[in-house]
Amino acid sequence: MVSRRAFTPWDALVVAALLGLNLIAWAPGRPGRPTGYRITSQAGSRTVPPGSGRIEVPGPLGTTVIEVGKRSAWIVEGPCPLRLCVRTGALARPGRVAVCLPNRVALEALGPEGEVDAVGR
Amino acid sequence: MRWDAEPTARAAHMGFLIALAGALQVLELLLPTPVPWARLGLANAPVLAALTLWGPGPGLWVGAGKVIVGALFTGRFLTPGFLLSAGGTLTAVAVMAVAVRVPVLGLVGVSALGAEAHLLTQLALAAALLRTPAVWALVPLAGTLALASGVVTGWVAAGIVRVAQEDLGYPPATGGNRATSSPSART
Amino acid sequence: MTRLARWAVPLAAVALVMAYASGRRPGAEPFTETRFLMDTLVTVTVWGTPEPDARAAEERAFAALAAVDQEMARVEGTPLWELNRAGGGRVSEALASVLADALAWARRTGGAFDPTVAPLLDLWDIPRGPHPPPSPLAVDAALSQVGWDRVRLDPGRRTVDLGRTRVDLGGIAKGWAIDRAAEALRAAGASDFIVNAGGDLYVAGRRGDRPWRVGIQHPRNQNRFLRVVAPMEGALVTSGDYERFYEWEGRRFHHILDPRTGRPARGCQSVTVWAPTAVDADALSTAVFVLGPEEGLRLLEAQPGVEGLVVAADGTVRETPGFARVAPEVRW
Repeated sequence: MVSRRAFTPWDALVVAALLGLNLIAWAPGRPGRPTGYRITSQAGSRTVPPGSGRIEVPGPLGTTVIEVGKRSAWIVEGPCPLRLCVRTGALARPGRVAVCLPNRVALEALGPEGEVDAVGR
Repeated sequence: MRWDAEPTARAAHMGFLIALAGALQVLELLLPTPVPWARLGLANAPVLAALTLWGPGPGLWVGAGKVIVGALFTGRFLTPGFLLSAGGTLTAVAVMAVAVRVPVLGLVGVSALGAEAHLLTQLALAAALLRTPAVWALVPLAGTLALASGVVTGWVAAGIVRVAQEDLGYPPATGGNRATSSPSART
Repeated sequence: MTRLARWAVPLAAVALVMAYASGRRPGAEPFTETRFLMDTLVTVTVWGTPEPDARAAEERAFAALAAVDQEMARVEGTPLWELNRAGGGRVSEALASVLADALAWARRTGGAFDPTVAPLLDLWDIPRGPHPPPSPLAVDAALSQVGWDRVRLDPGRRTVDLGRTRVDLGGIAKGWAIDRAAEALRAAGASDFIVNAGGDLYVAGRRGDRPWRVGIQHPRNQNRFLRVVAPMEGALVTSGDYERFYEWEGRRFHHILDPRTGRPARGCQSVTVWAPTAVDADALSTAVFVLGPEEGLRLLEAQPGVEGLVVAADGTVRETPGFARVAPEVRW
């Protein structure tokens, strides 16, 4: 009669491989990348795809310069005194926003439902 | 009674495994756990045993029994949690049905693969139902726990199979062995 | 059973499950519009109504916000500006209502919230950008003009005597405007929406089959949330030292001034308040920020029907006992 073994050396290999898979492949999580960016100014708003490069947006105080990369976008320069827009840094997840209030320019990362519907700040 | 003593013997044994799986599932669902998926998964042992002894169809029956009995007795029938459990068990049975045919793998390895499939399916369903990819962040922790429980479950399943073989005269019906499962084939 | 048949059942079952999981339910998307108003970015999101109706509802909401802005911004030409210039006078119902709320909150918070801080705000002039902070002498001079208890408001006749103070409604008018916008949305038939004015929110209803999810900004890490919550219907207002500030010689000077000392309040990094109305949440978040974690939480607990969460200056997070009930955390 042939018995079905409980544990073989191959089992150890399988378990170790699965363990490695769990720890490595999934550890960083899988947040979605933005599928586009919405730029709002006093002239209205428009959507640009990732990788659009450097975009200059005029406003009452001057020009706000936005860089749209493949994975994130950010405000490079602004004519505002506080530079809060630049300090916001890169937007890499859908829903994040960088705003230059004095110059009335906003940059928003769009994408399949981000983690949240709104940010309280 | 021996498995080939009467035609209904096999049905009785399978019924026993379904009941066992259901009871274990109820027990585990009622136990409080710190992390939602950190369960021992012992209820999968009869499922794997049935799969080994009789094949994927009966394995699925015992799996279905485990999920449905567990859900009915704990009031979770047709809840989202039930869907996660059902989905996970279905994929686990399919994966184990394939893995058990690999000659070099023992039941622990088969069970580990089943546990991983179970977890990944549950996470995929959760991500779809909740419409957020954030659940995948649980994989490192939940996956390790699932593997651990899979190892234990595989060992228990091997025990059940051994009892079936030694006390009830079962030859294994699948897994690279060409023994048949029909009583009339025995001479 | 043939071997094929033995496989068919489990495989078919798996296929069914996978199809269900991957098939996207045809759910509607929320309708969203964003505009610059009230010196901030305002986004109104409406769920569940067809686009033309959602658009119309949002127009009404933005109109309501604009109306408040045009009346209560401390900008040349507005009724508030004229009121300050004249030192008093007759005001509209709306302005009288906001002034009454502001004075009531000033009384309840012992002056931690004080609408007469205009001279201090002008002195610090945060929007101007980095500049040397004002001298203690200048601060004291401005401080001497601050005092909510000098204001006399006659609600019946709607007349105000400012008592030589000057009023800035920045810490409360936005909340009041948000409440008006929410009213406008409801009047237009929307029951599931979010009004987001620069991070101050009013949340109503649900997003289809799941609740709205709100992320509370982490005060020190732009890319993280302190917490993600599903708030009950009501307002969620956050005051933080990271919203408007400048740095001078290594020190940060932010826009939430303590009306009692004349300087930026240093007790907290951020404060989040939940209340049934945004006007209350707005005033309270400012007051709690000024009072600091200990006194601020005591104030919140003494007020019925409001809850809050405080990030102290050292980063520790504390909350009122009921906060988890009105804003339960969403883990996944």
